[in-house]
Amino acid sequence: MSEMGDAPVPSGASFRDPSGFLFTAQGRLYRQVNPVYRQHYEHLFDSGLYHELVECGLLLPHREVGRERSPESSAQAYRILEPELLDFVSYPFEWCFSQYKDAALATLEIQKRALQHGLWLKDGSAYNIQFHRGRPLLIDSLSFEVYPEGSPWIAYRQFCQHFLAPLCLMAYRDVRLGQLMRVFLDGMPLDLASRLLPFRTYLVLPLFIHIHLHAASQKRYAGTPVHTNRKLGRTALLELINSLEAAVRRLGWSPRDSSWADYYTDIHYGPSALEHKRRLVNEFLDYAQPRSVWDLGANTGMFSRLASQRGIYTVAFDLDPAAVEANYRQCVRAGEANLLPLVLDLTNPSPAIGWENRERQAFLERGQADAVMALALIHHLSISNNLPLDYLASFFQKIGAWLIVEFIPREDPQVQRLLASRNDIFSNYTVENFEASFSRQFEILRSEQLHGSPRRMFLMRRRQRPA
Amino acid sequence: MPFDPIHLLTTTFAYLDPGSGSFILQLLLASLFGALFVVKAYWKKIKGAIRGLFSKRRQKPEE
Repeated sequence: MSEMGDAPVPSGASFRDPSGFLFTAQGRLYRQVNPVYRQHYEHLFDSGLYHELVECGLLLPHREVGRERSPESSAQAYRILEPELLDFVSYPFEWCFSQYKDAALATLEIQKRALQHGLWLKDGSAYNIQFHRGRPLLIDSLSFEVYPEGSPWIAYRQFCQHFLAPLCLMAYRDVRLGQLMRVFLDGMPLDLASRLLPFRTYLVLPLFIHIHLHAASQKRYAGTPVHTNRKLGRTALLELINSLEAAVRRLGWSPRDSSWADYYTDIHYGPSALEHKRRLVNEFLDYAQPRSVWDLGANTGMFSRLASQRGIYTVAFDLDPAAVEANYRQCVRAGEANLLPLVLDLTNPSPAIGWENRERQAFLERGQADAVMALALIHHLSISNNLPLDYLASFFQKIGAWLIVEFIPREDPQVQRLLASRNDIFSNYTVENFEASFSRQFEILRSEQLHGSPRRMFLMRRRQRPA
Repeated sequence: MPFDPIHLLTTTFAYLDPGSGSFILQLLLASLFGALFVVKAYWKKIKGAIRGLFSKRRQKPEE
């Protein structure tokens, strides 16, 4: 590694809070705690809150390391922490409804436990929650501060904007409105949420208060200095948190009319082809021995589980929020720790957002997988989205060293369905061209046609890039 | 002492703008949430008392 590569680099997402910041040095992630945060940091440990939250899986553990790692002079650092590494960083607009809801409930649970220890959350950002070993937890150990008796909750606005408003819109209007989190970096503006929500939400007391009245209050008191004799006592604060929790708990969304979630119950190919496909995926995984897998177009995760159930960390991406919802619910039911389902449109993957486009990373900046699975996906990208096969090969070699891919030829009913409503301008869509395009980027190690189906499965290894 | 958020911001480590409207709403609702807490805490007692009241009334004619 070059000397420049060894120098600590502050994270682009970590500049708002003067308590400390994240940085990377020598390929590892650290968090500096500034001296100004000392009292709160000490109380987090002395009160027992840190250990309690770590024990129940609500806070990402860290270890303290030497202060000489600080990118500043070591006197400017009170502590340097090395947090446990996350396998994959996801963002709220990539979560399905139940993931989002669980993240909100985890935040409120942390807030309640913190109050029992004389602390509270000083922010309520959805970006501080990540899915780790299957469950949502807080990743920012500097989010706590000593509870200032009598004060309203500093992070109330942020919690409502980051969690409650998007969840309400997803539950009451359309689950796709969760995508608005891509646009609004600091959460859904409450006046907008209030306008978009149906009238019946006025009749639900917690939603009336925390969304509609809240939005009106923001408008009425914008920029007004607050000088009053009033206080929000501890019991009233607890009731406020309970009321937010009740609001979140009663929100629900269930997939109803998705053309995808019932994909596996539809018959696209016979049981022998399905069994053959499973066997081949297993064989390919045996051969490649990946430590991580990204399953693109994973649907409800039937094939992702072939990887995750071997203990391989697997991210299962799908375009359809209903498929991801079904997948996540199965993860929760079975307590699966190695599988993370996420919503992602491959034709328009999550962009980098925030200040200088550096606060939240684009999909392609968030690492790579050892192996990528793309089963029953190529025809969607190639035909529904007009993507040339060369582009696909180039994309896949960027994100994984191994590729387990299925090619569904033109005569398959699934491809015929995609062609039903349009001109067939896809004369290049042949297995020969597919192999030619992918051979430029990959070495094709196995190629096998599925029993009783024209579909073909491939195992490929990325060609060594010139040094 | 009047509640002064400037004082709060210097004694705690708030870096977020809590938003005047969001702050004031919580203060305005303090008594509602305080009352809710009390009602919930004593709910069982209240429920018991009301039940007792009704059952006494019902029992009376039988006496």
